[in-house]
Amino acid sequence: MGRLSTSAECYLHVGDCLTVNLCPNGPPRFAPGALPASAGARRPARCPRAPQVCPDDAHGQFLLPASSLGKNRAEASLERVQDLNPMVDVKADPGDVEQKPEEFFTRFDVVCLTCCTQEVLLKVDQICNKYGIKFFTGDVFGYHGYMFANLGEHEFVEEKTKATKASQEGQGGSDPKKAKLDLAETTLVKKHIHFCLLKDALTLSWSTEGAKTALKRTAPDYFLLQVLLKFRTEKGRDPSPQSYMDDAEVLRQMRTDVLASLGVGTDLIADDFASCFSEMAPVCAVVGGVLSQEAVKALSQRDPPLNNFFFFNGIKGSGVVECLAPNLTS
Amino acid sequence: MLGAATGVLLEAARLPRSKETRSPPRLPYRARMLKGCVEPGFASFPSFVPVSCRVDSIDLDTIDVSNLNRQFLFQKKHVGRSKAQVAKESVLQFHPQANIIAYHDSIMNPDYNVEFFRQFTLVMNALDNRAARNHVNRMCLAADVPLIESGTAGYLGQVTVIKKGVTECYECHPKPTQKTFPGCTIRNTPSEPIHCIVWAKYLFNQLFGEEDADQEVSPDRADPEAAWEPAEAEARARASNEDGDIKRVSTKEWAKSTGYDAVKLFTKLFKDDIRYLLTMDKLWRKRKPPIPLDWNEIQSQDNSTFNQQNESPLGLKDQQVLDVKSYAHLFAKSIETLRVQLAEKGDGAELVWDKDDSSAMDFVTSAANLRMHIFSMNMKSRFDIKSMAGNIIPAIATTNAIIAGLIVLEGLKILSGKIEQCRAIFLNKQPNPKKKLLVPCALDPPNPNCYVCASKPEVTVKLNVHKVTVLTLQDKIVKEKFNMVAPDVQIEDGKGTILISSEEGETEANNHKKLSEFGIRNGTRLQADDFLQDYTLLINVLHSEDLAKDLEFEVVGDEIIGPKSSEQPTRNITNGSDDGAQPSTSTAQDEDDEDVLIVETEEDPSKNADDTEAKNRKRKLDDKEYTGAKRMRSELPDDKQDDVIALD
Ligand SMILES: [Zn+2]
Repeated sequence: MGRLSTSAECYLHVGDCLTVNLCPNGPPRFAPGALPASAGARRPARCPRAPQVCPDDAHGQFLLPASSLGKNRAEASLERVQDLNPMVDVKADPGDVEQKPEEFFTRFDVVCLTCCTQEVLLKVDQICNKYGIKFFTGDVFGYHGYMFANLGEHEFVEEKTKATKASQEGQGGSDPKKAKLDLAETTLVKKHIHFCLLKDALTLSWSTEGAKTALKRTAPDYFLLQVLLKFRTEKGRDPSPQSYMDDAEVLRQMRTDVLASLGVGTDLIADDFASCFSEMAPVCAVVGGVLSQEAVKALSQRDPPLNNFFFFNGIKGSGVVECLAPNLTS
Repeated sequence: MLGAATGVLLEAARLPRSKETRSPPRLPYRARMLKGCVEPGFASFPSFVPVSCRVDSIDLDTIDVSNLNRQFLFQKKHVGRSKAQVAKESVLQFHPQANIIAYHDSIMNPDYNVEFFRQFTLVMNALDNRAARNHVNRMCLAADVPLIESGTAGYLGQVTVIKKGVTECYECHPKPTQKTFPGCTIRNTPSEPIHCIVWAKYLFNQLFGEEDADQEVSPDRADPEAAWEPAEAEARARASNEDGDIKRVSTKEWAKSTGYDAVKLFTKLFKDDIRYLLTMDKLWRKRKPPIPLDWNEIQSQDNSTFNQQNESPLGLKDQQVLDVKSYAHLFAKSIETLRVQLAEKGDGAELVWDKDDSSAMDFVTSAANLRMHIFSMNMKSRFDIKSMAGNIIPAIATTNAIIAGLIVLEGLKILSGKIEQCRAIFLNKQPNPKKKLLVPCALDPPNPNCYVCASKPEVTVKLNVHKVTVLTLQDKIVKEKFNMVAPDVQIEDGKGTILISSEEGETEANNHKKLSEFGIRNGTRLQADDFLQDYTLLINVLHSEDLAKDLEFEVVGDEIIGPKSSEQPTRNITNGSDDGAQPSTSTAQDEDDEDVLIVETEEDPSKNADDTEAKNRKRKLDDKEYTGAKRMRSELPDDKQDDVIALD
């Protein structure tokens, strides 16, 4: 695990990181942040189950040279990832993450999934939870991006600063300026935070009074995410600009179903799904940056982590952190 | 290493129609972008390519080893080469259809005049220094091209859009003194104690801690300032990196091989390296050259001659400033202690710098002070150094990635003709009370009194006409304060007497004359022009005999519009870029700040920050920096304790 350091700058030393699916926002958008940050990690960062490189990837991805069309994504990006940070031992695993046994995951400190179906997300999240592995997932749908974290029972230290009057105060010769100069004493406070399972975070009850109040302040992106995950699960792909009209219609239908099953009003999500199509590289950069930073935080066990969703809306430029866990809406 | 202004020129457009179906935003063909760039800039570079097929890129810099772990376009084999060129090559690998032209040049080069800027639909800045930012701001105002400004500081960052006549410009409000500096300032040309403290902290890590290429301490041979010819800089960079690897690996290894011999270390750091710096003679044309220290000479020095320097002989030990000899001994003593500590931890162990560890602090105090002495600065007490060293903010890769993404998103809005949708977006370290980590805020209208973007820029400067020389007016006021690059100054005396000419040598004879010798007195108006920036500033002289000690001049209104310290943290925070993104100078000890914070927390949480209507500054503070303000309150109890960001 990451080492705790008392200095303001914290370096991550050892941390095994599993990045599943280099696809839309795996490396580079996620990895460039994560890899440099984990400089010093000498154990492998793995990238299993990447499907074949498709032309779309070569546009959005710069870990994947154009010459890599048709190759396995993990293998194709391996060289680039390794170039980025020779200190990180990167291994590519062309296998399918769905087929991996539980033991496969136990080797890692952090697991990060992108582009997975809801089923896989829930399954891996369960496994990680069981073995105390830090779990992250993130995706980008057009202008919308999200990150979810389940760090289980997470211990971390937070630097608290309190300005204590310099002890010299009042002593001979101290001019007023000096007396005012306080020394910021920093103390490290140990804290604990509980994260919930993705399964619980996605199946909250919105029927209680408290939940109804909370609903008004909840980012609609949370519900949009559920619609998009449903689309992915049922269609085996994300909404595509090539079938814009059809996919938009399917999304509208799914919106009605999803919101009804969650017991909330359909008006939470607008009719227009145009902003959910195609993966936007700059949105990946933002979500990837946040996710990477969270992964570093999780490993270094420093600073309060974002608990548990981060939603980014690239049109508004707004990034919201929502804690959507069962106890909070009851 | 970010020595001087750097720039990347992006020229979007010529999108093959078929590809348009891929991305939701439909870009007007032939939109063109100019982009000044450092790290977030390079990070955003690739993001742009899918939507733009022609990219021109300009950058003065060459790639340094320290760039590698933050900039994923660059690899080890690229070290020493032009950033712009390598960025182009890297992007081409992934987007072979992209049409990219790279220039290895400075954005402040006079070739990039108003006409040049006018060709672009959009200009994006991710610059590392105030001078270049101010310059590009003026060029964009002159050319009436929208500008995206950005900056990062540690975990904080921001992106904002500047549009002439519509929004605030980069210079609408005075900024606190810049607190970021490039690596070559640390390594070659420190001019403030903080530069030496940063250097000493890096040195600690190089010797005892984790060796980080970002924290190089040896002379930087690729300093662009040392070699004005970019080609020469590149050659130097290559040379330095060829043997650089050996040197870098060996900083610690070499120290170990000497058994952490304090005298040898002292000689390398404070004598040999300084002598090497002296050979880069261009650096010292306008600076006082450093003076190498010799261990043996110091030993023979009489303590008492130095004790005079001691400013507070009565203060406690930590507040005393010792003499050079004492610091040399403290340096040696702390090295020995740290050597033992390191050895006790076993093979391959590293020490972690901690300001509360007394030997680590002794080391940094002594090393920083010795360097300050070499560079003719007044040395600092251990107490002062401790508080300054504790506030150094490291550059963070993930922040750059996030800001890069935001730059591009704002750029897309402008390119699709929706500039009214643009926002200033702030990145917080922790979510604010409205749960926002990324906070969009409406753009503020221009400050009608801005001395840059107002229709007839005018400013009043308080100075003593009998004391201020023409050279001071030129260097400190017109160039440094008002950021003109090549100013012409004439007196509005009906005759148009030329005081300063941008033509070299033309008015040199005036340099050391006092302003009063030209008939300048209270109420005189001076007209300062910068041809390149297409900028004219009317300077009203307000003669004053009672300026504060050490103050040569004062810009009237500066304090009111945007104070440099604690009174108005809002201003400092909301102001653009590096200096604004980091809340450094908003020292926030006053009760007023508490009020501000309370007001914010009580604000109606349903009120959305995105509303264009609501645009008061308090809200900005509220949205953006709740946690930040709180944090800085405790961290920065005095205006002396500025946060510092070390860029490479
Ligand atoms: Zn202005």
